[in-house]
Amino acid sequence: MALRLDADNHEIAALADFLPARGGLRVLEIGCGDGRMTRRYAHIADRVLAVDSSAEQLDEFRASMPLDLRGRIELRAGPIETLQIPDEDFDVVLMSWSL
Amino acid sequence: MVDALNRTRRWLQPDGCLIDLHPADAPARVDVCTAAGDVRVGEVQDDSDAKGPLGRHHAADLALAEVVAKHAWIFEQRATFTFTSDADSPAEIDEHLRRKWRAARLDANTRDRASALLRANPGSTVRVIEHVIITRMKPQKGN
Repeated sequence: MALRLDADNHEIAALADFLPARGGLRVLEIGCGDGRMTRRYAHIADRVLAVDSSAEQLDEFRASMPLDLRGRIELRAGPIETLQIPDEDFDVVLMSWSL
Repeated sequence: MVDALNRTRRWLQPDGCLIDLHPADAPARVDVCTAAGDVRVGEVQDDSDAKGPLGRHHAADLALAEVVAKHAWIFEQRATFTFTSDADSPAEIDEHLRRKWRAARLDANTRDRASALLRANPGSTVRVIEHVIITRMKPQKGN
């Protein structure tokens, strides 16, 4: 058996309960790492900007990104302090194990 | 951390929200899951700056409380859930911890206890159990 993370789906159930219940969600995820969590919720978002300070982690994410999510997830490397993002552009900021 | 939280406000729609997930400030438990039940065999040895009163996870709790106390954010919802990592062997868990956590591992006693139980109970698995806090907040208008 390969390593199985959150086999009981507690994490994604909690996140689904906390995300706003409306369509067209635009999510800014800070600290996405290798995209382990992003891949689990991105299908219910309209657009995800996934940011991490580690280019190596983002390379791992890019390599494992499912084809059906490639149109809606944008990856960006860099620290939060230098992010160039228009104001009021997102419905949700998600800090995934990154605070 | 307080700066990071406040920095995100400008990127949110006026009715937007921030959702934070971070591990609780408690050691992650290691169990062997057998057909007869789960047996605790130890804890993850985390040598990073994550745990303890001066650790990262406690600091995250304090940062969330501080931005609310300063009326920058309002708590909307909070819950705790368990996050599990399962494998067939302590070696797999140990490799995962060393690769994905900052400075964590299984100590020799925990590995030995897990291995002995796995040998005695074929088909059993090793499980790491973390407690994770999820919080939703919205920006306080006018601040």
